Amino acid sequence: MPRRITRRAATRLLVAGPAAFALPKLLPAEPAPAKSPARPALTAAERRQLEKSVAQLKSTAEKLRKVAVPMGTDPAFVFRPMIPKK
Amino acid sequence: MTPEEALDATVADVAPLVRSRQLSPVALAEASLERLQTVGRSLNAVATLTRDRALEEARAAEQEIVAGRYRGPLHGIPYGAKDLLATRGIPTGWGARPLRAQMSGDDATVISRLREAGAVLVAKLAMIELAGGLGYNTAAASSSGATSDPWDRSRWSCGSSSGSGSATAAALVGFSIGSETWGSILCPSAFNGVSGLRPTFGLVPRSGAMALSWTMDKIGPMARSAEDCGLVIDVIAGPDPGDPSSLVEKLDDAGWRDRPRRYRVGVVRPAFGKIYDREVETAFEEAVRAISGLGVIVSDVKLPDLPYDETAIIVITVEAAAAFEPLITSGRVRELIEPAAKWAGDVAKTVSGVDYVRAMQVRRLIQQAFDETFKEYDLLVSPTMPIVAAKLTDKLETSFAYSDPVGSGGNLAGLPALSVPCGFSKAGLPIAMQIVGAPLTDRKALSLGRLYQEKTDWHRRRPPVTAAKPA
Repeated sequence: MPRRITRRAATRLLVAGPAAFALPKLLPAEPAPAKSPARPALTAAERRQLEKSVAQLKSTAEKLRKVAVPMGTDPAFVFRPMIPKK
Repeated sequence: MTPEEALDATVADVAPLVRSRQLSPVALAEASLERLQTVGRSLNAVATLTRDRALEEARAAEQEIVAGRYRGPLHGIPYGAKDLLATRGIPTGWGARPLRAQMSGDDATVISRLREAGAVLVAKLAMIELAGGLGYNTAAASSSGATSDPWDRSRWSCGSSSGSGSATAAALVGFSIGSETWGSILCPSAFNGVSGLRPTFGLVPRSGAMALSWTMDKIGPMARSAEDCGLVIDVIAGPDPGDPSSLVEKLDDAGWRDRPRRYRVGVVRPAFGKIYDREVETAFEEAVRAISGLGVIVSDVKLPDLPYDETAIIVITVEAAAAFEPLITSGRVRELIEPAAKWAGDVAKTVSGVDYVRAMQVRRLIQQAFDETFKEYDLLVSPTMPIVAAKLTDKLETSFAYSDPVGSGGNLAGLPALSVPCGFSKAGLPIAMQIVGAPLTDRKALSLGRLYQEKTDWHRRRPPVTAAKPA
């Protein structure tokens, strides 16, 4: 990396991906905090819906755990090192 | 041809008239702006009209063409862009109320490339909030409101590229730009009866575009013919150092104007179950018969039994929650229209890192399965959607409760797919077929789509263009 990564820049990288460094002008401003508390309590009905969604997602993940994936299967990620520009 | 008539035509039909100065880019832009302001607003298809920029670009195009400096078939053509592509000095609100006033200092790469080609940006088009990244269950989950389908305004344009589909069908723009993570170009193309290309993953750079899923987002054209999609993709495709996922490899050399003789085409008939609209089935089978008469070799194919939808759900849920983390932690997620967005981040966090990597391993198996399939076939065809346009008031979790292996698998494997209109229901709603290719064979799909459209006229039909609000 050609320059020191500050914590703020690292956060931006996490959110926007490496393109953030290439084209920082395109990044939106971080959203201002909401005026009321960020994490208000959910109503009972909302909590039930959240629990239903969690159960559905867990069931989805469980289906994937049942797939016979051969050991050593390369996940569909590609990491490219950043070659310094000359 | 008057500018109003030109808006109804394809880019391929209009471009020679612009080049020969029989049509003025300024007059075209003005006609487009007028329709966007009236019809577009009534459809809820518009996020922001870009009048000043449009007229500036149109005047520049006109001056250049008069001076003999014609840039190509998009020169002087008005277009709209989904409101997740950054545009200098114009709000880019991602369809989300808390981000309505978000401004960018520069254009997204796709917008820059279109400007270089002389295209005229007339509007930022409506979209589902955050492209549906934190979930949505109603058509109204957009800061622009629910976008209507111009074929029947009580029906939904689909999402998340809602405005792009609606505006292109209603001929408010010459073409539009949409984006797809899973279905967001193909579904609005199908519901609105336009041609839409989801390009190979990485073919079109995403610099300056909202990120929902870094490993699945694609940007592509929506137009009134396969040929027009080809004209746009020729301009916007190509490597970009600003997007680490952009491919350096070029498209398959087979030009999209070539005749697709002897292509091996596999027909995928998905088991949509009860939700499969029989009118879609009838239109699709008719389209398969039409393709069979085009000199290609058609046979049935079955996709391997893999958890396509489940894999896509895990990948997108986790990546979207990471992408929108600042909205979630700031609490501004509560300003979104979709109530479930409030807890979408909490739900996503229940997926472990191991489960996410597991999904990416299964995704590799899916890639390999498609790779094997494409050893036997050049292209696959399947209905784009098993249903016609849903009602604006429908609960989407009910209307869209079917498995979508071609859609989820195609997106997971980064495959190009072209949706072309292939019929209408008795109620006059468009039906569409998708043509799917191996990575970087986008032009093969365009080639078959173009030939199909030479033999059929579904893509030439237009909805009534009026500014009436839905009843």
